[in-house]
Amino acid sequence: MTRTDVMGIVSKHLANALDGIDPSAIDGSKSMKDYGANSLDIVEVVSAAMRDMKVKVPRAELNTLTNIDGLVDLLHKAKQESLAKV
Amino acid sequence: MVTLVSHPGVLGAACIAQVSGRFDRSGRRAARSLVAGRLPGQLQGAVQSRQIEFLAGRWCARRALRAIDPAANHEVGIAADGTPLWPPGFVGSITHTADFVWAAAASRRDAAAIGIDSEPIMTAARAHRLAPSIARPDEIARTRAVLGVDFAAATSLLFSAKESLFKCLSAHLGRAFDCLDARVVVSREPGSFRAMGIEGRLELDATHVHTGVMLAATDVPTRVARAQPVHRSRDAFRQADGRREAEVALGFGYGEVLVPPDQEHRGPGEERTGGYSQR
Repeated sequence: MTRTDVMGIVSKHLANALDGIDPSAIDGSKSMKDYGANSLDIVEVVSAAMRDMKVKVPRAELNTLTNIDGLVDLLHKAKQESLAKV
Repeated sequence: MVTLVSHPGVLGAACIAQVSGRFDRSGRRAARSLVAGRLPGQLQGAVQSRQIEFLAGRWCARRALRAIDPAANHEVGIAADGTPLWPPGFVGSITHTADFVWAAAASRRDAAAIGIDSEPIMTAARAHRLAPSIARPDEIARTRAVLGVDFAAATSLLFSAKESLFKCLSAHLGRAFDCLDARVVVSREPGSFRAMGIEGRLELDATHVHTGVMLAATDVPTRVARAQPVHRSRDAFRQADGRREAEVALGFGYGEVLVPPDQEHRGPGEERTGGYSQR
C-alpha cells in the first residue's frame, strides 16, 4: 500500500463525513477542521481509515498532528510496520 | 454574529466567567462579520463555517476574559494544533456545535485548568460505528442504566465527558490522551460524573449534551498525579473469576472494573473493531 493509497482512503472517509467535499481536491497540508470537521467527524474518519487499513494508531499520537498529511504519514508508517511483522 | 444565550450550568464555580451564544455559520451576515473579524493566518484557507465558528468562539472567550479583567483587552491566540492559547494568568476552554458556541475562562489564581464540551446527540448508526473508539461496553451500559438514556445518548455523553476531561488535562499536562485512556463513571447523583479521579458535571437534553471539568488551583498536585491513563495500569491487573478483569485500586475510588487493553471491546468471538450490539 502506497502513501497515495492511504491519502485516497483518508480523503474518501473525510468526504463521506462532510457534505460538499470533493475527495480528489483535498489538500493534505490543511487540517480536517479546515474542511469543517468537528471532533466526532475526526474520530469517524480516523476510525474508518484504520478499519480499512487494518492498522491501529493511538489517538494520543493522532492528537499531535496538525494536518491531513501528518495523519496519512502516520497511517502509512503503521501499515508498513504491520506488514514488516508478517 | 453571536446572539447571547444562557450558558450550560455545568461549571458552577463563581470564579469562572462563561459566555455562550447562537451563531449563523453561513449567509451574508456571517460573511460580513468574518471580514471584520481577526482571523489568524493558519485559518485563512479554512472553509467559511470553520472560520466563523473560530471567530464566534474567540469572541465569547474575549468577552469572558473581560468579565474577569474589565480593564484589559485580552486576546486568545491559536496554537499550531488549533488549541486556544490563553493570555498569561488565565485558563479557559472553548467549544462549538453547528450553531452554538460557549467559552469559559478563569484566573489562574482560582483554576489550574478548565475543559468544556458540547455535542449534539449522535445518530444511533453513528454511535454504533464510533462506540468502540469512544468507550468500553461497561461504561456505556452503566451510563444507560444510571441515566435511563439510549445507546446513542450514552455514547455522546461519554465522548463529551472525555473531551472536557482531556481539554482540561491536556492544557495542564501538555500531552494528549486517547478516549480509551479514561473510564467515565456517571454518578447516581444527578448531573455528575467522575474520571481519572476528577469530578465533572453534565447536562443532557433531547438533542445535546454539555459537560464541564475544572481543576481548582488548590486541587492540582493530588488530582493530576492520579490522572493517569487507564492503560498505564496494565501491571495492576490481576486474575479474577478466570477472566483478565480486575478491580484496580488506583485512587479512582469507584471500584471501576478496568479491562486490560488487549481485552477491550472483545466479547466471545468479537473483534476489537467490531460494532456494538444494541443493548
